[in-house]
Amino acid sequence: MILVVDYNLKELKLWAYNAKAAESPPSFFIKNAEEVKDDEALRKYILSIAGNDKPKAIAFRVLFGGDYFNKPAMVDPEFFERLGKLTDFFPFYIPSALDMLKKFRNIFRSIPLIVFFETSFFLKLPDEEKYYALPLEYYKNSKIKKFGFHGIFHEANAGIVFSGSKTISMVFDKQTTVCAIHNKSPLSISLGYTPLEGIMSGKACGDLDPGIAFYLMNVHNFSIYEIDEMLKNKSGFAGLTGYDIELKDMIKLRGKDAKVDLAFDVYEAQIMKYIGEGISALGGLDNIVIAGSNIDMVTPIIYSIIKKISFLGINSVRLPWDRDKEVGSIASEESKIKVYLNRKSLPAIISHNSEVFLRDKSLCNLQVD
Amino acid sequence: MKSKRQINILVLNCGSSSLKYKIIRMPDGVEIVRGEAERVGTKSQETPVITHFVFGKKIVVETSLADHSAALKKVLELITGDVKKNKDVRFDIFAHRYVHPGTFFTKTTKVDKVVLRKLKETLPLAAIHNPIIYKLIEFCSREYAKIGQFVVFDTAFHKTIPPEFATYALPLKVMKKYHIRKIGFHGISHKYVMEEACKFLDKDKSFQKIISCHLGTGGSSICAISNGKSINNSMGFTPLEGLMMNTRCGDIDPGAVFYIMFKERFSSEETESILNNKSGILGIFNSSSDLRDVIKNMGKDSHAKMTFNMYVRRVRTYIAFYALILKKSDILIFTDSLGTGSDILRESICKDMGFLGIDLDGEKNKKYKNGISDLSSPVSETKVLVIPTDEENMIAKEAYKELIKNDPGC
Amino acid sequence: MNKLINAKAKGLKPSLIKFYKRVESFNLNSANTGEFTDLVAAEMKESSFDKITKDKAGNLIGVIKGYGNKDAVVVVSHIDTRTPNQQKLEGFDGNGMAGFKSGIISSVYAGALIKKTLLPLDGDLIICCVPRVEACDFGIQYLFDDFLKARIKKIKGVILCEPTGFNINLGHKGRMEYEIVVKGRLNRNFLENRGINMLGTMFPLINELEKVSKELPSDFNLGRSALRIKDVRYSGYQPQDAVSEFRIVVDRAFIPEESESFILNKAKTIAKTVYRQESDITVNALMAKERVRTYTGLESVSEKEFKPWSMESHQPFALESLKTLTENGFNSNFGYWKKIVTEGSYTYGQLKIPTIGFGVGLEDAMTAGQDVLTADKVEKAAYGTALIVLRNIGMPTFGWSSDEI
Repeated sequence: MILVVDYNLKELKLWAYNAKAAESPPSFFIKNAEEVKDDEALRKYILSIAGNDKPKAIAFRVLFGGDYFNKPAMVDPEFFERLGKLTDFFPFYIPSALDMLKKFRNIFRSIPLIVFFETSFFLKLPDEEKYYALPLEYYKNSKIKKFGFHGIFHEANAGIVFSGSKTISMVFDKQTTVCAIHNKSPLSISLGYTPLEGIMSGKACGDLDPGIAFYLMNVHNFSIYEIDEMLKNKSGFAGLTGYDIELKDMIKLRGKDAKVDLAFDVYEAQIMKYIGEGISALGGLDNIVIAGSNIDMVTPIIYSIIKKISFLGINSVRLPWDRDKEVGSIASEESKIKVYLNRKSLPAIISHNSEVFLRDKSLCNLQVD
Repeated sequence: MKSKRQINILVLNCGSSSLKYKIIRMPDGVEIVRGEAERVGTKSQETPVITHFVFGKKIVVETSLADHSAALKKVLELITGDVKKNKDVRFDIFAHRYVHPGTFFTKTTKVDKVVLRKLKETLPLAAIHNPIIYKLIEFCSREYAKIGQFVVFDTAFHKTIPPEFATYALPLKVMKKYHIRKIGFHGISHKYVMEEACKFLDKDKSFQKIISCHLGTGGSSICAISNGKSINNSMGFTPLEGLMMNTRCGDIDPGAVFYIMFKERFSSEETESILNNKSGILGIFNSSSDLRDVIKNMGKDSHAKMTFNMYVRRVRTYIAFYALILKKSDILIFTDSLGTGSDILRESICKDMGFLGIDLDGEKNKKYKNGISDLSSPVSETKVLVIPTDEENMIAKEAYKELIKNDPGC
Repeated sequence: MNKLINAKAKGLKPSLIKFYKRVESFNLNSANTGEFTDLVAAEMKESSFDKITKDKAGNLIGVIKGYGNKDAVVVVSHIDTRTPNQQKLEGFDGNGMAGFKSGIISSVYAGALIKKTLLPLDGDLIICCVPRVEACDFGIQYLFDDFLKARIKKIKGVILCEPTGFNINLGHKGRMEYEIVVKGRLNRNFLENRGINMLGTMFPLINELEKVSKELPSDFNLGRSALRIKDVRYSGYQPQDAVSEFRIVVDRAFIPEESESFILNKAKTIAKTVYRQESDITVNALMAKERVRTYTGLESVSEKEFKPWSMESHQPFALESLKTLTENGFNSNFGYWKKIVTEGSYTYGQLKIPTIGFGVGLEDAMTAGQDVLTADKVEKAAYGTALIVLRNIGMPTFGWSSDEI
């Protein structure tokens, strides 16, 4: 059994994956991570899903691995120090993740604790994609560059298709990301150093003219914190519609509310830009692979985007799409460009990756830059 | 009824590092004087220079050009010298290209005190361009008070960008309050090359899908044009968005910018100035802000190679994006100094773009020297054209139209 | 980020209420101050402060370590060590030194909140509870002479947890106590019609001081200076027969333009003028001194003086602190205390370290003993204090929000 852990500062989610039983493993979601007062409380939660079955590994998802973690890592004392050094990059997340990781370490001292990073995949981005056109001195001081996001999903999507083919991988989760992949390496990624670059989400703006931020700061006296707060918490779908509702409810208003329609139009336009970026980096397109927990929710959007770019050579299958297959094609046999929905969930991917890791640890040894 | 009196228009077109000027006789459009002050106030490997043509006769003046006012002074000296030799060189009115009028102006306007005051209010909208032009307009009304002045706006062409491309995913209230939307720039140039392309190919612009790449040493932008109307432009509310430019960063993660501001303890003004004046090609390549210098050094300098790749990549992103929203394009246009001046750049931009219908003919591309030319291969679905832009011509036309409308008797 | 802080603040609420009740019901006096600081120290420990220590003057210091080696923020609350009765009697205007337990709770909980959110700081956060003995700033002086001595140049700012009604206060008038001492033998002709006893000889000076008190200068932000005769003392009965002495004890509120030496000189001049016809007396004006003994047994002689201070509102520490409050729903503004004095007299008045006050409650209500604070308000003060600390020395997280990951 592999215990998969996803912790995002608020919620703590646990799954107990058994190698044999693939579908819907026992899981436990703690809405408010505050409830995990101590190691003992955590042990109880774990027991409630794992029973007496001792996990052979614990797999922990970490959102950010900086320049250092270019592969999954085994947790040892040095690991904590290494991860701690990234605090500066992601101050409100790293200390918290470290804290939770240490709780797991304390409970299971003898079980391998493997950490999977959402950014490792993107360390292979080509330089021209990785860096911003800023004076190099600022890069040297602050190490700011594109780190990307959703690396675990995108890497899994890359695994579905022939590696020599030109693939656009899209992930529809809380964030939406588009990535171009060739030879199992990323050529582009929509999300940059933070989610303020890329595709809009529930409350974050996505692509923005940075000149707007300066205009509001210099001319209208916004502080950097007010701007940041507005861009990440008051923009996106919530900002464009003025509705503080979940995306799944928002999408039901499509076609009934002009503001909602505009929001989805802007969302599609932003996705189109990154598909454009991806295909121009690839110099062509053979496959599109789509993953993420929101696939079913945003199916009409995916359909609409596929329709818009179908002139490239896509014969898409009409809605409704088959929801049963883990990896299903939504393009017809004769379609020049293949389109797949990868319904494998994030914990399932992580659990699978952990099995691979346990078989061959060399895949995961850290390489120091 | 209509007098055919000829009007000589001195068109002034400021880039962030250049001042292009022309005396154009209207209504017949004959060019009497043309010239360009280059590398105005920039860091470059070459010295600033004014290239001045009178009826096609060329004079080159190497001089230091601290700012645009200094450049204009020098140019007006040259013109005054010419007038002494030939009275036809005189000019009757000034016409300026104005970058960012915000919501204050939507069409070509004659300058008076009220207009000047209104223009002053637009300065913060494009803190780089507007003040340069505004200073020139002020200079002209002070030094040449008797000569009429017209302003032609670079944003008017982009009024047609539809909401899904003009809207940022910001709070609606904020966008309404501060009039934030994609405004788009280089409209005069995009409109000019669109009209020239359709003339050249003998097509009706109302049925063409065009991607226009204005790649200059000042700024760069790409425009998606559908049926004669701009539907998207890589520049945004300000010229900072979009492509990497000579000293502008182009698209960037605002979050990354905030971190740099915080860590370096920069004010927002300082940071804005860095992103506008010290980033882009200059930021990465360091020794010049001119992509042509970069190209010269590509063999020996890894920074040069990376700078070039970054520049090309961003151009390709927007071409592919616009090809997607236009569902392929009928015409792809390269214009302005870099667009017309570098075959290597065009070749790199068009490489492997066949799947979007774009296929450049390598030979034609290498051989291109000047003028309008079709560089596409026989199989290319998209006509790939190089068209030297002539914003001044467009500006003169617009100014003349306005002059006649205001004063039909002249 | 602020959502995160808010959420964590809710999580901390039950323990805050417990601590609040314990502190409120503690009947603090000079004898049990040590117990009281132990109680606060225990709460710091409970909130996993990185370092908790007490210095010889009885200052309790809790440290939350920063990740970097950048400037620290010092949060100061004070512990009054006298009984409520004494508080009424002592101090300027009779009530200037009211106890402010809410400041202690909010300062400790601001630290707990930062610790709980795990939001990293660039520099250390140093939370100090300073016992105020006999209305002297001996405690805060000792803190900066001892524990903070080595890092005095690396302090970004000081936050005083005192009642400001959630405003950012930037100063107050100074307060000093001095004595006018008149010594010698009086001329027989002096003030015949008033009788010739000690009291009678003092009246003219008292009268003159009353007059002066009506003409004192005023400061735009801090308000008017004030003078109050606190006590009169004398020795001897027949001033014309023998050398005798009388003293007038003056409690004085003053603004920065009046220096201490100016005030003392002026007092001396007044007395000299009043007794100008007397040839055989000496007149002096001296700052009152007091022997203080901290609950830890440390003894010292301290002048009874708090310097006036008034910090510019465009000082970045003040400006950023106000901004973070207004950006996060506080209806705050810059303000100045009118009645109470604070440790800012030393931290800004003396050391020139940027200093602000922030806390729950109004000084009027506090000093009048109408302290109707609730745990909710104290929690809000802790939240505000945490925001101020994070804005000034926190590592900011731009772009990422806790909702979207």
